[in-house]
Amino acid sequence: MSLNLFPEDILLHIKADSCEEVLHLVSSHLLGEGKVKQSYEEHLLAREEDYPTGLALGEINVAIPHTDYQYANTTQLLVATLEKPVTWRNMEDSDESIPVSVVVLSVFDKPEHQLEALQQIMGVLQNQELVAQIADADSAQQVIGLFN
Amino acid sequence: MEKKTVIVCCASSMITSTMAVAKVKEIAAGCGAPEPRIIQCKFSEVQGNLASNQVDFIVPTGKLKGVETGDVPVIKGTAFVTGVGEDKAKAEIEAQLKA
Repeated sequence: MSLNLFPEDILLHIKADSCEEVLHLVSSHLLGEGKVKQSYEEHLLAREEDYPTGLALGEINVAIPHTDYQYANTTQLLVATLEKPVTWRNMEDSDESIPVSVVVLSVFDKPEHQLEALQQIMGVLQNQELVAQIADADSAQQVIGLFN
Repeated sequence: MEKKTVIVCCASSMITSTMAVAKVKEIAAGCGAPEPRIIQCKFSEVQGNLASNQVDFIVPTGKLKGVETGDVPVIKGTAFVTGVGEDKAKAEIEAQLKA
């Protein structure tokens, strides 16, 4: 299946110093496009605070932030690669932190039909070689190609 | 083998627990155990579900905080999201399903 991944929502080598700053940047971006509601950022941050989404995958780690469907207007992904890794709390153990280089934000406005897309994403993210290529990619098309 | 009751949970009961539920079913089918009854819920609902069901084991995709699980085994399901340590988690679940 082809994922809903659009060039305008692939943000490459963004500069941020914290997980919160990354979440602010991606939320503002989506809000500007009308893809999420005003309250999206607040709920995304709160959710991350309670239940962090950093995934310890190996050398290059990824975070998969998301929040409830009520705050989004669409179903798609946003991918952000970070110029330098930021500290993110680990989903498996929220008392632990890991450096994260790639952020895959799952935006969805309907709770169902997420599984297939997620399994496809995780199939990619579980491959460190592909994750490294995503982290280094210099074009949105390259990232889209790596996910599909 | 008895049919087991399993709580599979995550923060929202939508994203990561859905991935873990699919895995638990796949493991059951693969090892010939009866498909377990799966209670998919939020972390915040685990305590209540433990009280009102005879639960054989719990698969949370993150850290279960502030939940009194008593002697119900907890098997971390984060591996089904990250793929890291998946074989170990799979073996533990298989053992529980066959117990």
